[in-house]
Amino acid sequence: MGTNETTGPSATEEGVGWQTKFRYVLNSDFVRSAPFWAVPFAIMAVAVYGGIGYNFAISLTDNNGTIEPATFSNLDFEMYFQALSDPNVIQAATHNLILLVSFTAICLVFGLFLAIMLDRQIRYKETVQMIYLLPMSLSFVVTAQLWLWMYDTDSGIINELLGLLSLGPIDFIGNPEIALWAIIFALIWQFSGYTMVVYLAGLQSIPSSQFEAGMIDGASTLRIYLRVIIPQLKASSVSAAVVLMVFALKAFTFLYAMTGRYFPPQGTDILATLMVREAWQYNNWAYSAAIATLLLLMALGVIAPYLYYQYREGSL
Amino acid sequence: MGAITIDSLTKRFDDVVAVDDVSVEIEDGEFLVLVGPSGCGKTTTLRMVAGLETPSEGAIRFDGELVNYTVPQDRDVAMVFQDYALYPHMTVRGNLKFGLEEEPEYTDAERDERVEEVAELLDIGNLLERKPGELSGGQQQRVALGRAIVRDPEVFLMDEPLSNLDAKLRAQMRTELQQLQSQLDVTTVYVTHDQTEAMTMSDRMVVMNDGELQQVGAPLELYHEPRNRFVAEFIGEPSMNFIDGQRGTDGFESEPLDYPFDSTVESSVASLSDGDRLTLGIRPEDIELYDDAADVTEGSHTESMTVTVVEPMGNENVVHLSYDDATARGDDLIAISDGLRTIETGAELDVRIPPEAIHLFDGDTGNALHNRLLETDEQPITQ
Repeated sequence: MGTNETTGPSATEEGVGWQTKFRYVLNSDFVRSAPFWAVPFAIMAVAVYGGIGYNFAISLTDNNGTIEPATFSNLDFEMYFQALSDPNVIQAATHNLILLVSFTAICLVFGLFLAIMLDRQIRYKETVQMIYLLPMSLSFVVTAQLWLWMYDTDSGIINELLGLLSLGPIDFIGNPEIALWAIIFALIWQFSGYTMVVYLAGLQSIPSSQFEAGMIDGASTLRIYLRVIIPQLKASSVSAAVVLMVFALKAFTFLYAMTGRYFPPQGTDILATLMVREAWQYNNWAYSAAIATLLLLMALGVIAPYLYYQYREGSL
Repeated sequence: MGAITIDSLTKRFDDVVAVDDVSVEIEDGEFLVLVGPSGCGKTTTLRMVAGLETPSEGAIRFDGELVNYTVPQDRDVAMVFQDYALYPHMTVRGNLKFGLEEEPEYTDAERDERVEEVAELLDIGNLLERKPGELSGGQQQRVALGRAIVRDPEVFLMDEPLSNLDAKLRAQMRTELQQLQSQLDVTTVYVTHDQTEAMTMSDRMVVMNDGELQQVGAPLELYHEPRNRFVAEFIGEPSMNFIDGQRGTDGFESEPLDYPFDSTVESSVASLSDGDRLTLGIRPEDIELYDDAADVTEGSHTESMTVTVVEPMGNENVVHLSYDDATARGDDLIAISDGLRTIETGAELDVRIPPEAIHLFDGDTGNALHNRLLETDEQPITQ
C-alpha cells in the first residue's frame, strides 16, 4: 500500500489514462507480492479445498462399485440421510466422541500433573522430560503393535502383572466393552508427554514472583495452583487440547495397525475406519464420501472454537 | 508488635555467600531502607525476612519469636514485589481480595468493604473491575501497594517497588509512600539501589556491600559520618571526591595535591606514621571555587585548577576540574557551584578545599579516620 500512496495521483484523477491506472495496479503490493503467496495458495486451493470439493461432489452421487465410470448425474443428499440413520455410523461417531473427549481430558489433566511435579523438582528435568516425550516420537504403527503385545491375553506383560495379583487374565482388545478404553489408555501413554511439555513451557513463563505473592498472601500451595497458576495456563491448555483432538480424530492409523485389516478390534470402530472400510472393502464410494464429509464437519467443530478464541484474543 | 531482630544472618547459595553476618534491630513502626549496589545481598536479606529464603546461619525474630523456619503464610507480612506480581487473570478487586479470602474471620461483605476502603485510600476505586494488563505502571504500583495494605500486616516488605516508574512518578510515589507509612504506622523494610530513595524516605538506612553490612544509621548520619570509604562514595550525588596519597611530614601528600593538616585533623591521624597510605575525601558541594586568587579570604588549601566539563542542572552547576590543563581526560575533582554563576569550560579557577569539610580514610582498609566537622558538633568524629 505504501507504494500506492507515494506514487498515487495528487488531485487530477481525470487526467490519468488507463495505462497509468494499469501501472498502479501492477505496482500495488498485492500484485508485486503474488509470486510469494500465489504459488502455495494455488497448491493448497487444489490439494486441500479442491479435494474437499471433489469429495463432497462424490458424496452427492450414488457411486458404488457397480457403476463404472463415476457419473455426476442425479445429485442429491440421499447418502447423508442413509448415513445418519445407519447404526454403524452412529456407533462410530459415538466412539469418536468418547475418544475425543476422554482422551483429551485425561491427557490434559495427567500432563498438567506431570508438568507441575517436574516444575517443582527441576533437578533432573531434562532427562525426565525426554523420557515422557519419547513415546510421542514413535509412529502409531509402533505403539499399536507394542500395546497389542502388552495387552495380549496369554503372554502380555499387563496380564502377567495382573496374574501376580491373582487377577485376570483380561482380554483387553477382544472384549468390546473395554477395547476402546484400552486403546484410549495407550493413546494417553503416547500423548501425555506432549501435554506435559506444553504445560511445562507455560509454567516456566510464569514468573516465580506469582507463586511468592500467593505465599505472602497466605494461600496454601494447592490454592496457589488452583487460583493463581492454573488459570494462567489457559493458552497452553487450548493449544494442547486442539492438537490432542486432532490426533484423536486421526486415530485411524493406530486402529488399522492393530489388526492390519479394515476391521478394527470390535467396539472400537470410529468414523475414519468405517469410511475406509466402506470405500475400499465394499466400494461404496459415494457413501464413504458422505461419511468423510461428516468427519470433516466434526473436525471443524473442534477447530472452530479454537479459531474463534484466537480471533477474540486478537492473534488471528 | 512489628519489631524485627536480625541476628548474625548469613545466606549461602552453594559456595557463594550472598549475605554475610548481618545484624540489625528494626523497631516497631520504623521505616528501614536496605540500600546497596546490585548483588549486595539486600534483596536476599528481605526475602529471608519474608520467608521466601531460609537463612543458612543466624536468626530472624519477630517480637522475639524465632521465625527462621516459619512459612511466609504464617508470618503476617505483606510484600510489594519489584515486578508487582499482580495476578494477571484477576481484576484489581480480585487481586486485592485474594489475600483476605485466606482469613476466615471475615465475611464476604466485610472483605468487599475492606477492599473498597483500601482502594479509596490509594485512589484506585474506579479501577476495581479492570485487569492489571489494562493499567498503567503507576496504577499497577498502587494495586500492588493496595494488596499489601489490605491485609493489615505487621510488616511491609518492599523490593525496589519504584524502580519501574518514570522519574517524575517515582518522586511523587516516594512522598506518597512515606505519608502512607507514617499514617499506617507499620514496620517497613524497603530495599532499593537508589541512594536518593534511601536518603529521603528512611528513618534509618542500612548500607550493604558484597553481602556485608557497612553501616546503619539515620540518613544524615551516614552522609556526614560515613564509617568507611564505600559508604562515603555510595551516599550522595554526585559522589564524594577521593584523592589517593599518603601521610607526609606535615599532612597529606599526593601527586596532584599536598594538603597540610590543621590541629584537629592532625589529632585524628596521629597514630599514622609517615608514608602510610591515606585517602582524602571531599564532597563536591564543600569545594569552594574562586575566579581570582585574591578573593580567597581564609587561609591556604587553595590550588589552581582547569575546568574540563560543566553540567548545568539549573539550580546548580556540576563542575569537573583537573589539575592539568584542559586537554587532560580524567577529572581530578568534581565540584558544585551555584546555578546562576557562569563558569566556562577551560577556565582557570582557584579551588579551595576547606579543612573542616575533609574526610580521611585509611588507604588500605578504607575505614574512616576523620570525618568532617559539623557546626552543631565541634568535636571531631573519630572511629
